[in-house]
Amino acid sequence: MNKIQNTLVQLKAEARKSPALMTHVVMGYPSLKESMAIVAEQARAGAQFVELQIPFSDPMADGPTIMKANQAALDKGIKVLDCFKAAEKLAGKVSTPLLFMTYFNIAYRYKGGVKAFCRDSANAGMSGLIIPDISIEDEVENYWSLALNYNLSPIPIASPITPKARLKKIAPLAKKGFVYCVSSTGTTGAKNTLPTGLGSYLDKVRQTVKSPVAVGFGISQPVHIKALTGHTDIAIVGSACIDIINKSKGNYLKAVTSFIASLCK
Amino acid sequence: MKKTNYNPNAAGYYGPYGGQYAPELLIPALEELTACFLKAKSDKKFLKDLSLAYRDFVGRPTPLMLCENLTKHIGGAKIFIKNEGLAHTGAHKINHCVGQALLAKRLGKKRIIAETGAGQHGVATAAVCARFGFECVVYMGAIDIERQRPNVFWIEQLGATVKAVNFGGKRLKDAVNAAIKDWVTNVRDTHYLLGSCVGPYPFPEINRFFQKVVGEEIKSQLKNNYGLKPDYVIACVGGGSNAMGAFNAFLADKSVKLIGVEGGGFGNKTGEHAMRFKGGKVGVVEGYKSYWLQDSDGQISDTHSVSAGLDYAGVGPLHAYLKDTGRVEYDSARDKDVLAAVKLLAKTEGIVPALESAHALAKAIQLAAQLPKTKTIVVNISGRGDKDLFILAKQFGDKEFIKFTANFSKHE
Repeated sequence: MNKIQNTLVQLKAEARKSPALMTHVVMGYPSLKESMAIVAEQARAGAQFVELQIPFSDPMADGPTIMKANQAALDKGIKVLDCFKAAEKLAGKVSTPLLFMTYFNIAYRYKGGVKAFCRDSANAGMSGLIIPDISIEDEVENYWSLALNYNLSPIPIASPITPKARLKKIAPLAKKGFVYCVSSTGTTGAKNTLPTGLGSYLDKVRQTVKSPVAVGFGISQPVHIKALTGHTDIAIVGSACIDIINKSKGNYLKAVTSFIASLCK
Repeated sequence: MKKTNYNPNAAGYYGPYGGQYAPELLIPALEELTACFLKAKSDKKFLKDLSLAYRDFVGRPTPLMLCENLTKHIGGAKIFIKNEGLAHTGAHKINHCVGQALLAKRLGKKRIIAETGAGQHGVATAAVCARFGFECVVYMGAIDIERQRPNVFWIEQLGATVKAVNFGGKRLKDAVNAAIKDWVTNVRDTHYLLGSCVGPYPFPEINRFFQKVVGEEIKSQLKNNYGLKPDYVIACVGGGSNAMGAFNAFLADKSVKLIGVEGGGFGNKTGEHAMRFKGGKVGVVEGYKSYWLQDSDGQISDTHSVSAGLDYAGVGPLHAYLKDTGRVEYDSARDKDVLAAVKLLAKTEGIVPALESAHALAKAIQLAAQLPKTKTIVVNISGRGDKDLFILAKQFGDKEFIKFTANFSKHE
């Protein structure tokens, strides 16, 4: 069992009503040091999972907020190895399960390839991987089996237009973790209202997938989390975590603390 | 399509390249498109509609012409040009645009989006959307918009909306990224009219299918009108759609040498060129595996070419496979040689090629000089140079034209 699995077991045992929280950080944004402090603070303030995004030049599934943060981190010269070193330090410091989120080319070009990327992620203390541009049908890169072999939870993604037949294919891939349900068609980014029909879509996923489900894209406010109660195990707040940093005018840790606290209420 | 080793497998790979590395949100749309395409390509009614659109809307067949003056000037192999510049909207892009519009109709989509580099694909997309009745949005990098304002104007006159892309390098790759984002958001009613033999499967194959008419025409025109077979077919390679079109009919015949020409820019350093096959490494970006100009971490590099259409960090997956197998040779042309080639074709044959196509021409000029007169070279002039008016005037240092543009708005 890895930390994600332990946390999932614990959450189930608690029989909690409101969903658990997964937050997001782009490594190297606003700076490497600050991004590390933000991860630690998110965990301390109550996030049950934290996504550490390794920046990429062409983040296909991300909206403007996260894309700009990716570019800003790269402009500062952040390297993939910097992210691994920072992640290792963080994993030694916080007990919260951490996941690397990135795009497939980063894993593919990693020294030693996808296998080494999975191995080193595990060695750095990461518990899971989220890579949106690798298909669930992949038979060429062996991504799913490599990640599972290194005791990582590779997180498959489902969307409102994923047919039931595909959900059935997704289910076994989520056996060590959860399914990441994209709330609506679109890219990441905070929105004011949740899409209509979100609850019934999540309920549909839960009928097919036994693993816990998480929902992300557009979730940014405490009222969203409340509305998701009973429909999802985990709420994912991504772009909004970056918006908070952007708006904080320097006092970002305090802003992170109160934001996470408001979401965990 | 003729069965060759160059057809993709069921997962969309040409050898190790290609595939479908796309977010889950796009997979149902890609599957729907694949099924529609596989059915359409052997559907008599569809093929009939396509050939009528080629004939009456596009203006096919486009001419194949022997460049007698240019050949004489060089004094080597015979140079023919396939003049795709005479296709409607001025370039080969219209071929896959009509094809995909017909597919989108079959799929019942209401809206078409596209990315564009040089603007040619945008104009062609806007034109087919007007003709076949689709709402149309074209994404274009802010830098390309500056370089290709006339095309932006025409796209808008054709009833489409141009959206400027202001992130990243603000060029073709960023426009692709923005278009993918739109598609992800509006996938239910929108078709993404991808403008080259790139992207996740089935796009590289769809565009190859709609472009292959170019090579088929080259083959029959050369045979019927001149009693010849080409020794060389040369085409420029950005994403690689015009080259795929020109090459496809000859892939199985190894006696025909095929040469793809990349944007050599002005130097070998990162950001000075777009030579994917010289400086690139295999990577997975924008939904497909191919050669990409990237750094050691896998971050995509900036590129440069005097022609917006070749200024792209990736290259179509079938080209990557043709490179590895040695079936196609890939070379590059520098900006300055390309500009000289534009001038030479204009003065000798009365035809101004697009800057993209002039890359292929520059290679042909160099090659013809080394070959005997008995040899036959066909250059695919993928587009005409009208769209490059402003950039050519600047590059040629035409003071009067620059004065004209500065004064234009004063003379109402």
